[in-house]
Amino acid sequence: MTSPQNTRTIKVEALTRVEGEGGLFVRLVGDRIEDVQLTIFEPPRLFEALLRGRKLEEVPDITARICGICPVAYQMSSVHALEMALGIEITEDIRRLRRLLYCGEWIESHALHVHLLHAPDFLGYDSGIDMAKDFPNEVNRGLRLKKHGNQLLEMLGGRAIHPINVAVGGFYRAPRRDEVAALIPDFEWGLQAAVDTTRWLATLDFPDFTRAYDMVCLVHPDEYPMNEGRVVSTTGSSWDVRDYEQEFHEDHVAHSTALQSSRGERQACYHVGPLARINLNRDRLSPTARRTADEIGFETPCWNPFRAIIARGLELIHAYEETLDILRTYRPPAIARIKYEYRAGQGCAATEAPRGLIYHRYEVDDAGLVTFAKIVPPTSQNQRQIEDDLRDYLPHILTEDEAATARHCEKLVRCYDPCISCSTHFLKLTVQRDG
Amino acid sequence: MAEIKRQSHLLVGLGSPHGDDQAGWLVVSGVEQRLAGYSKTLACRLAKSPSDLLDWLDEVTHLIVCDACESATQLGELRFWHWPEDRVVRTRSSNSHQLGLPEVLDLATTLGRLPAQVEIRTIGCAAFAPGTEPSLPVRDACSRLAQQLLEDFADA
Repeated sequence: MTSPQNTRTIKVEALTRVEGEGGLFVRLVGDRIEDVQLTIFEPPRLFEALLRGRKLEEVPDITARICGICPVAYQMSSVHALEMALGIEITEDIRRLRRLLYCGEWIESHALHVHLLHAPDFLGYDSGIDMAKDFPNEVNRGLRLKKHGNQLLEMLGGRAIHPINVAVGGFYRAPRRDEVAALIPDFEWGLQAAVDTTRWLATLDFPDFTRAYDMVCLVHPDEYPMNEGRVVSTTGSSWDVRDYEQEFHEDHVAHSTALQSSRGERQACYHVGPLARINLNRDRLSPTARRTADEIGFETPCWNPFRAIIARGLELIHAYEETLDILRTYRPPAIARIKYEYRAGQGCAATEAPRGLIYHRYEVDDAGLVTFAKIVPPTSQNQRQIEDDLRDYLPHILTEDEAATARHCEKLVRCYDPCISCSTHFLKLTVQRDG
Repeated sequence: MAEIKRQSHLLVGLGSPHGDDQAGWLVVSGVEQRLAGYSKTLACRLAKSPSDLLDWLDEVTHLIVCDACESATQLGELRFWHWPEDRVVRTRSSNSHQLGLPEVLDLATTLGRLPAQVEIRTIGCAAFAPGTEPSLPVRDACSRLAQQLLEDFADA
């Protein structure tokens, strides 16, 4: 029996600079880690049940409400899945506009995360506001880049948060050429600023911590993955999206109101997000992003989760460059939305949210009503991986200074840019020591 | 919207289209309609997010922010705060990916961009349901506040 005097408990009551509310509990016996739990106590949001019985046209607007920072990921995944169910083939013009919208979301999310949420960890500040005293240019740049992402969402999505212009079959309204052209000067500035950001991120001091990850993301033969592709693992396996649920499972655990994902019969954890995407898709990054990766010596595959901040910087460059390409060549599409007939069916889709792979599946009836919905957000998929990382990382950072230990844990958790509201769908670390 | 000039005043309405949360927008729209073309140093803006302020602060010396206030006030009650002397109570934002008004003002201070004079005018509000109109007491309070601001800026 262990002695209660030897029980050590470290608590992070409120993990800041993540989206949503959760906690972290670590129980130690002496220096042996007995248990690590990412405790998510934000109430379940029950979106899948809410969608049942709704008209399928409502799905993109309802699912956008799951998240204020990555609504496009939910909209894109839902419309692609519903289009599969209805047998809709979208045009190349609509496809490019959808990539443009996704670029906007990657820009706003990555710009905010790298400058204001995660960089303070590497530079020793409690917040982006504190960091602004010594790094005003960087903070101002982050704010400006985030705004560009919002501008793109407003132009194409109707508004920056929870866009309303995404439809099954395309868009309710395609933007005019002058609206699109007006954004070009800002995005030309932004591309260079994204390169400067990534060079700056590469100068940060990274913990020497690597793991043999199973990283999973989409891979597309012709493009950096956003809206479509095969699901591929760094272990060499790959799956058609229609087979996703045969390989990837969700389980309930008592300490979390979000389901936790695992892979295969071994129920192993896996890692989704920008590092997975770069490791499996470096050749498909835009030319400036590839050049910058070479210039800063970013080696792939990269197995250090802390370097995910550099991967986000490279994706920021990619998103700006692809945005500029689409903006400069834009012609309003002849058809903004493909017409369709209702039919009973089932469809699924996986796309790449800023923080990783997201999967949706829907069943609809011949009256256009949703009869089943399944939504697997990226943070659910990373939860078990985060716990596993902490179990491995804690022995390297464990000291008697529990506040310092907690800070190191939070820094690692933030590598995943968790969106806890999505996964239920902030963090409290408890370390309990026995022995 | 009027172009912001040097030594200028900036009046910002913070809000959303949801019920009483339109209060800040109603006040600023009311002031702007009646001041249009008469004031060369007062600019009016409507914002959905406090972080929008950071785009507009250059060359502003006097900032007035009008916003709905839910807690510790009665419906339609008008209150007046000087920043940073009167610290606004901080509540945790419902969205950790956005900066709240106190954080934006702190950030502006850190970045050396906070105008010399900052006022926050709040309107006591209660109902924020999507798609609803602001309540009558809130509408009345917005008219009263717009009138007060017009008098304050009569010489601006």
